[in-house]
Amino acid sequence: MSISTKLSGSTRLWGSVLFASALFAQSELDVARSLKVEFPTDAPIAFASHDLGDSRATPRGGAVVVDLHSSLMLRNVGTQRIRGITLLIVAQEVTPGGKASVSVPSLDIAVGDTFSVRLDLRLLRPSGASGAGPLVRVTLDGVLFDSLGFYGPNRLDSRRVMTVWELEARRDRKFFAAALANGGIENLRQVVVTAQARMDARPRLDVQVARGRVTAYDPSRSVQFAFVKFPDSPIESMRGSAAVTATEIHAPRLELRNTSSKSVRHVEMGWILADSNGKEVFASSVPAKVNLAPGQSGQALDDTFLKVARPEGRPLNVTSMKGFVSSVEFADDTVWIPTRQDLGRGNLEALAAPSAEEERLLGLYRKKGINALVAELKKFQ
Amino acid sequence: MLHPDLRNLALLAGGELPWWQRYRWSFHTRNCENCRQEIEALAESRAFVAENTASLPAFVDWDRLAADMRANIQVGLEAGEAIRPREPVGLRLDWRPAFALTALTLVVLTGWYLNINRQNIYRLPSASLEAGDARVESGSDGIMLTRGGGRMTVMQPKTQAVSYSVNSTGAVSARTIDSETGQVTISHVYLD
Repeated sequence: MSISTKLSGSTRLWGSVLFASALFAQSELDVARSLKVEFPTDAPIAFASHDLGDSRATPRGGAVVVDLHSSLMLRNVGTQRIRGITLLIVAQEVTPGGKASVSVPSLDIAVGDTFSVRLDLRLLRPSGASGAGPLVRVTLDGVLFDSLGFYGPNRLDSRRVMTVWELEARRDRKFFAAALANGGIENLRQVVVTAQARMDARPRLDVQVARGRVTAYDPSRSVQFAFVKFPDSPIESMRGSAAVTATEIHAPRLELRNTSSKSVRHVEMGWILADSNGKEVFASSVPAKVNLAPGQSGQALDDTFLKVARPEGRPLNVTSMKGFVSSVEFADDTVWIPTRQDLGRGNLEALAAPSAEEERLLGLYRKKGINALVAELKKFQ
Repeated sequence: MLHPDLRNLALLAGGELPWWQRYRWSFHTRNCENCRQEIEALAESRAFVAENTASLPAFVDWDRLAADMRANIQVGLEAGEAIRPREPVGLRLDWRPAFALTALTLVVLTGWYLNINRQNIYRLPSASLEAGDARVESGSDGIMLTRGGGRMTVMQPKTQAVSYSVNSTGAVSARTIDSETGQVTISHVYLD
């Protein structure tokens, strides 16, 4: 096994994975050239080392299955602490146009420190496919700093997504820190246990989304959205509707108004569905690219076809829908998210997924106890 | 949160659980006030019983009681020997087949445990997205994109809890949290 990387200038990185050529020499595929890592020359992150684990290529019928297990060790060579990173993974040779990303939010990487990002990919390449280039190319899509500044080409809208994650993380750490400050460790423990119970009891759905096609649905039944309104939301949801059957929702339409003093370019709405018994469940988020000047109204349309079922297979007899604004991105790249008090309205805390940071903090409590959680909260104060 | 049942609490209070269960429930009770109180109450009861049964009541003559018991046991053994049927020689179960059977059972159970598809037991809610001939879906290994005869799967660790979601912009997402390091990883596989 060998690794070759080529650095041009201070931060240009070309990493090529060489693995198991002796073991799999009989395979048509050269695993050594399967993965290529390439960062921009001025990236604030540099490659430190590479662990390939048990990557291998296995012929299977008329195809080759490539298992790539890689751990990239990266170093913060910029001038700010890093809060999140998103890597773009392109597998053009395997699935034309196929791309994926791996993001690590809730980081706290000081300048000069290293951290790892794990990549575990399985590729099924038909044997007739061209094998000229690497199967997978990994590039940097974005890095978020503690100042909420951003670096990267942002092809996957990583700036907005990582900013939302970071704001949610700060909000939720503040929430737990306030519980500690107001009532001590026992109060924090109680708040954490309540949050854990809420997360465990959260109802979930099987969700299938189809785009750009109309399937058999009953257009005669149009259901209006109800909205959970937040006092400080920069977007007012005025009205909305979608065509609904017992298990399907099609073509939601939302009318939104920008009540802020800044132009809005992106709104993300959460969907909550209710069955005939009034039991509610979070279905999906519906992002909408909009361009709303201050005070302006506009429609957000979507050709999405959403099919939902309970995990045990029972259909969800959808009778009503509820929406709430889960994030707003302004034209100046700043982002708004609801407060914890906002999420307390309309039972949203119990229905919507907890933030990644809340889940991480709860996991820390489960694994290491209340004192570890207290130490973690104090680390960020 | 999963709590130990009363039987396990009682065994834990008496230090009689196997070590792996003792580790598991001790960790739990460190953070669970109710269970901790239950264990303290059980330990107190145990101490009370031990203290009050440490010595025999004054009216019991132990030497005479022991002599009676020895005599009864001896009578019982002699009576049993007199009526015991003679076993044919050669039919006694040797230890070797029993040992082999036990070993085989262990191998089978271990194989079943290691290869069982946990998704079939603890099935996660699924998420999928499709347009034209392309499809992105969550599965037992992770998120899989199928297009043009090829397939790319962003795999998720089987030892960690995964939550999948889908949004209408065209991505299925998976969120995992490493139980050792606490690192959050969010993977997306895009349709476009």
